[in-house]
Amino acid sequence: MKKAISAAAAFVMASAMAATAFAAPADEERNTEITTQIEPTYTIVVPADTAVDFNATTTDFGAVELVAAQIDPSFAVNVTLDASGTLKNSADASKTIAYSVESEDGKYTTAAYHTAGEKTDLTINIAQSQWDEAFAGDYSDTVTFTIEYAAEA
Amino acid sequence: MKKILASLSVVILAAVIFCTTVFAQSAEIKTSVPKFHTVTLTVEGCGKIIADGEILDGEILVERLTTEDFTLSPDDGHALLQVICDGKDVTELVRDGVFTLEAINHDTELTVIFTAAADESETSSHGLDASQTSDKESLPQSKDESTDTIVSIASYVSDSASEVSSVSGDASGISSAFANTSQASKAQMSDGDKAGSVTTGDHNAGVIFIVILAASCVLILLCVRKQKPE
Repeated sequence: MKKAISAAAAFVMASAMAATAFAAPADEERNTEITTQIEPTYTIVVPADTAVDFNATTTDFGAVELVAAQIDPSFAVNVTLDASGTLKNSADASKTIAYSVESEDGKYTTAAYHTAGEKTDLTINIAQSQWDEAFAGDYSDTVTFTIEYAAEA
Repeated sequence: MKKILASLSVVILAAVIFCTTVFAQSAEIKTSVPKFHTVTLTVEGCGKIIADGEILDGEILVERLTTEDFTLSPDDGHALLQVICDGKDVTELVRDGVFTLEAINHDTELTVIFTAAADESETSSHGLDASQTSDKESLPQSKDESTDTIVSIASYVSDSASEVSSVSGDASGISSAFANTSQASKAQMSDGDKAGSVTTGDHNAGVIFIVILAASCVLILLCVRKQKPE
């Protein structure tokens, strides 16, 4: 009995070791799909804290620049500026100096960036009349740049 | 249960981290407006700038947005000539010797120029004296020059007189010549009447004169006829 079982097992093992090969017909094609995925990355630079000289009607405020970008073709990096438009006196908030953040196209509020190197130069503009009427003291305001990666509308 | 909650929070946190695509970056804009401004006072000539009872000169500090009255006081014998503020002539803005800087909001330069009021007349008199002095110094020379001039004028007058006499002589000569010519022409005309012609030659001047005279008379008569209504 044992001999029979051993012989049968050897037969099964030998048959399992046999390689089976097939050959496709000459006119049949098969496609292989290769896929990969690149996560979007980008680096955007926004202006830093800036001091405006007294009586300066135009002050350089740096730039918003998309330094590096690997983004989906239908997507963009949207930058939105939130600014109150008034510098407030630290001692008396009722005393203000009106200002605006502008690019070469006018007042800067939002812009979309697609490729690396896209840049928007910004300036802080204060009218001379504002300076002439301004009370003495320190003034400041905080602006916020919101950066969003989103599909283009 | 705790394990389930812990794993759930980790999953949520991971989702937030990896799914957030909105970032925000702030920047501060600041400036400072000075409390005082410098007013640079310059006085030219004899006079003073007075404010708040004090004589001022050089640089002074004035509080921003305040109004400052400057009394421009010339010394005796002097007067205010001009006031220049930041390069502009503002003399006309001076009232009763007071110049007002209103709502000072920047560093300012004020120049006040005084001049000697009495010196204007003295200047002229000094000028006369000076000119007189210079004349006195040059009088001997001018006297000689004037003498020479007088002599030359006298000689010119005498020359003119001689020329006048010569001219008068010529005129008399011409008149006599004309008289002779007219007589000659009369004689010739009488001769010419016989022959029916007038000879020319030396008698042309008188003949021409008579012809011109006759022509002018004819013209006058024609003009008179035209003016007369028919």
